[in-house]
Amino acid sequence: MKVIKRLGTLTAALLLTSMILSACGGTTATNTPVPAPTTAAVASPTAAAAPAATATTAAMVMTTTISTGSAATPTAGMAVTGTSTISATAIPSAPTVVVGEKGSKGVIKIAVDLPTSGADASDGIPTRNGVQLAIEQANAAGEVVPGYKLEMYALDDAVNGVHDPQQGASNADQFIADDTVVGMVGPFNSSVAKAEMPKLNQANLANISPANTNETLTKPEYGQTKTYRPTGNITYFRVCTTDDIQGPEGADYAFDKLKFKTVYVLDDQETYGQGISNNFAKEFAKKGGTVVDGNSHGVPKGTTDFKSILDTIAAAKPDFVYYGGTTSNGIGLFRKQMKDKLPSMVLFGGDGIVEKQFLDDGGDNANGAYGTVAAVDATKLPEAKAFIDAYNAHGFKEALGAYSANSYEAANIIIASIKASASKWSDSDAAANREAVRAAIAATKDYHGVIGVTGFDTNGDTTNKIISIYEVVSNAWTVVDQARFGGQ
Amino acid sequence: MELFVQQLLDGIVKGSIYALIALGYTMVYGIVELINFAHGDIFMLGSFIALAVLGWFGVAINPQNQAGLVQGGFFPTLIIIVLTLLIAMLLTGIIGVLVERIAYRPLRNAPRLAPLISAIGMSFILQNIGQIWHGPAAVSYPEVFPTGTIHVTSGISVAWKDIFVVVVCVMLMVILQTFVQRTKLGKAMRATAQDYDTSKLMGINVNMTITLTFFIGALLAGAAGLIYGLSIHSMQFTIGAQAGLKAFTAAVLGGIGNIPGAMLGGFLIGIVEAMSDQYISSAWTPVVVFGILILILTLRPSGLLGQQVPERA
Amino acid sequence: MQKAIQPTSKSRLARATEQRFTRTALIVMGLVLLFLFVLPLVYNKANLKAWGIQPFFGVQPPALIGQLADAAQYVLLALGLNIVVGFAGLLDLGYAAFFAIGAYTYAFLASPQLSTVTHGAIDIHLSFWLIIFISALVAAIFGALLGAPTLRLRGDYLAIVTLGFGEIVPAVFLNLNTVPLTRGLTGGPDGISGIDPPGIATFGLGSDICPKLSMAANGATGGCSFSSNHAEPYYYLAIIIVVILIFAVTNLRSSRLGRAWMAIREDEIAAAAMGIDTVRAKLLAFSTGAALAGVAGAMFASKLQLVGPGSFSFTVSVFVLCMIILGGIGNIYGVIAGAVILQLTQSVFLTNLPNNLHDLGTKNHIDFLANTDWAGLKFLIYGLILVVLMIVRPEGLIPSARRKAELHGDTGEPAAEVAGVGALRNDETERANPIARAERESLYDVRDEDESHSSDVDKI
Repeated sequence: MKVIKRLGTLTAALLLTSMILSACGGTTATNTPVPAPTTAAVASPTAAAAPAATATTAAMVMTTTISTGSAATPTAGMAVTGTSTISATAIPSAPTVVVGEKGSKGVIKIAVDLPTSGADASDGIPTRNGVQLAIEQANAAGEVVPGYKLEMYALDDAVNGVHDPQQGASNADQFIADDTVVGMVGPFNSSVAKAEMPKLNQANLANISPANTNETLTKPEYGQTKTYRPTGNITYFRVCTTDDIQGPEGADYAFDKLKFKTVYVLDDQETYGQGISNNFAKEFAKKGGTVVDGNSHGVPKGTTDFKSILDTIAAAKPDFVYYGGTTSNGIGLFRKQMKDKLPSMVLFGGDGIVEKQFLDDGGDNANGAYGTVAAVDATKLPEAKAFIDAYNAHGFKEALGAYSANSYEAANIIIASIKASASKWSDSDAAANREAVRAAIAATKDYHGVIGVTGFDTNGDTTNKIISIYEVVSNAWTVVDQARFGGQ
Repeated sequence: MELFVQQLLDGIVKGSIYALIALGYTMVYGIVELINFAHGDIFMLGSFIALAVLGWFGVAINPQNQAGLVQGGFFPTLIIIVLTLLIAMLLTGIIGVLVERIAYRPLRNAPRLAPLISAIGMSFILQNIGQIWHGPAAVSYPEVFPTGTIHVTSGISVAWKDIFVVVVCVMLMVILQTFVQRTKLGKAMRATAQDYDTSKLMGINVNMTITLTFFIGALLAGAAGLIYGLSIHSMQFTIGAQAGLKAFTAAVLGGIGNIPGAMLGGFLIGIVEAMSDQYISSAWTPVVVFGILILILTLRPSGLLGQQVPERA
Repeated sequence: MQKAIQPTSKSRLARATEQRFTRTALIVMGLVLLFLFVLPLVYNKANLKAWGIQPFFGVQPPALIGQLADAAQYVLLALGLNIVVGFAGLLDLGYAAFFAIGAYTYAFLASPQLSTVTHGAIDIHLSFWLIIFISALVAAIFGALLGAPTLRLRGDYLAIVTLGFGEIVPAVFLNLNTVPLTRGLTGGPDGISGIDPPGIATFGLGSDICPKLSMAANGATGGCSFSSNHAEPYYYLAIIIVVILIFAVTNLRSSRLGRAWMAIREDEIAAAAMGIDTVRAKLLAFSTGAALAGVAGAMFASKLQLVGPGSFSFTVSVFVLCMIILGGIGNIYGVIAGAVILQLTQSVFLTNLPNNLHDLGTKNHIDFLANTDWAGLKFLIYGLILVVLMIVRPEGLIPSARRKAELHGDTGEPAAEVAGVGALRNDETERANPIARAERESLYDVRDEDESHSSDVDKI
């Protein structure tokens, strides 16, 4: 008796939840046969902002007629139009976004997998904004492939506020399963990349990471490439350079140019931070410098009060401090607090600290910090300035982040590759389109963009190996030196 | 030796903020036996509120050097800080009361673990509110104190703001302890904590007392928010949850429900952290802190100052 | 609570099964299983296209199956934590530690990691089917070890100590990597990657059978191995493991040990006075719960083929605790429902909600829906779900009989109560009768039953 009741409740609860869920999911289904003209008019209030509004609207009336028509009569074109109605469920969520209009044949989606909630949001959202900007600009400039509009398909890989490889893998499954997705920007974290890479590789879906710097992901000498690219095809690319380049370059600069002999190395206990710190320490020791305790010191995540760590450093009396990690883990505050404990000591870091947040957090003590960035001096590139202006003019709620330009570049390379494949674009063969885009990305050489000249080598790593050394001068990151890796 | 003393001082400064947040946990726990997981986030919102109040008084970030601008000398500054403290405490206290009304009062008679989940839910909600308010990145706090340090000896120094932090924290704790021990309302709170039903029979307005407890707990969180902001110069919407976890640990370590215990726990955790950073390794600090916590609780199952009371059914 | 006088002529197992699963329960479970079994066969892209149906919540079929397979890991975690918190009443805030131990155990025994660290001296690649037991065993041992210091602790002091373990274990996996003696062992923040997927033998059918089973032929073993891009084998494997463990836990619950746990939960002193070895029972609760987390960890590692310290943080412990409380603590079906619902809320609902809402708004001219930054409101929505669900059903979605009795007065026949009345508990009644009569019966059961029941325990 009891059990019956209990199971009755169980079924009732399950039914209820499934009803709620299917109601949410089903709305799209019931709304599909909505009369064409209304759907066509949808985008117009927002689309008015975009140029050539009339042309777009006209095209869209056609679109919807076609798609409803094809839904009734199964034709060859159905696959794409069919999925295109599905695809509309995946319009990016940001206020007043125009991306997501349909072309006459449907949409081509660029997937975005970044952590956009919780503590990681401060990294993830500005990075996602870069992709959104690139897609909006491309759509405004006309159809990349005749008949298609580009669309951003963004999913959050953070669970309970922290980036999560399992969620990343699940998002990758979603992207792979959607035939209109031809490329992905992301992920942000190397740990998520490790979970996603085998999946994307087997699905032959190209992705460009704006931020992964872990060298073991791509380079065969670390013996893990078989795991990450089981098919042997290169599907994973990145526009940022690896830790084993940036770390040593920083060490060379500190030892040769700044003439420092003793360093205290810190890291934020993350893949990026520990990787770049270890590479820095190795090179600095090789040069003849002294690394206090011979290794990097981990700073637990979430530390904001660095007093006792600063005391420890002060007692070790190093010439300067190197920090491997990102500003979101509090190094700006560390810099600020150095004022009381270690006045006038230099702080050195990787590209994770060269961003505005560091200046805000560091406050009046930010000056005198150094950072390496694997890109040419942004102020000398007209493209970079145009990008920064466009980003600021767009009215994003979040300020430009350290990786916004990288994700903008990554998205633009995917868009360019789609464009390059336009002549052979297939309306029904998703695999062919993915392969075309992948091959075009792999063949990218000398792409002139906002972070310099990018190309991809045989491992999918960027050939853009120029390292700029920045210093904070009167509260602004200023380029003080530029080096090409390998001393060229 | 100098280094040891220096670390001890820094540990105390660190610990005083933990202690202040821990007081809120311990008060709420003492009365309703609820781990108020949203308390850390109330602290975070309190800090944002205090930042806004400072803004009303014209204390803002100087875009050139990021320092706070206060017109006038020492006393105007002090008055502004005291006023900000009071207003921010009051507003944060109201948030605490609202949280109690929305998430806990409907669950007053529910199973013991149910309010734990609504507290976690509330914590997510408050975090999101913080994120919407100030964005996902950390927000800078103006600097209002003289930036110098006092050198006790060549190797031992204390910053002016650290003295302020400890003084305000200790003052608030003493006031709270006096309130709870000496006033009628405090007596009502203690009675409610000891026996909910009997207090009701004795004519104590139990609902009112619980609301008051949440209010005072949030008041302290608001104060901690301002002090944290002035001391660390930064606040981010996720900081609350992290600091809350440490503070909760401090409260339990001292003997949950016990006000001097929470203070002791907070100071102890701050000191242990500092010593571990110095003599072990900062990477292992969380392990050391929780290891010591487990050790202490194994030896003293009710915390340092907690009393061994039979568990209520 | 399942006390019923049965004819002694029946075998003990038959008697036990009859007691624990009524015919209705078995039928419903069968139907659910049938549904789950058929789902991947029916819900696929080709069918959706042919029938003109939109994919569920905008998630294309194969991805959803993978998400369900992931949810199964949380079902196991919820079942395990339910033993510790729901049955034995020991509030555990560090349960993710055992999940981590299970996952890392799998990773060490089925990846090139040890070989890399020892430069080929040790190269272990055990079978999934073996490691799943080893993971359970290792986690169980740690469960008992970590449980030992908590034996004297009560209530929230216990909670904070378990929380401490939950913080320590991932930090140890993170930091061991930089300690001279174990340098490189755990991979630090990178974790361990390249983990072997589970595999099966072909039973003489040749490796051609593998693609038909959505698997890949494995040259090294001559069998088929699971592939990360085909979730179906993981899905079916997860269902099998979950069903086996549901039966195990259900039996355990009404075993001598299970009733001892509940006695301890209600009143430890009284339980001890009744002759229950509370130390042994509590340690067994910790280690049994941990064993289930170990199995979940092995499944996690084998499916993701990657473990890292970030996947086992405090938030995971809290997340699983939310699952069991939302679902109905103490009730096996409740916690399963809680786990599935909450995990799908995270991985499917909240992740895709922004896109779906935005689309809805765009299609129907609801500017409010189209223009709101839903992705930025993820936590708010999640928090609201938790708060509202808790206020509406404080006893959980499918509460245990005891909980219901507690909330709706002591009637002695809890099932007769109408479910869903909400928090109408009469304070005085509850405090006067902290133990529902049904539960008191189970206390006596502990003495009535003979020893042979404990064999249920030994199997776990």
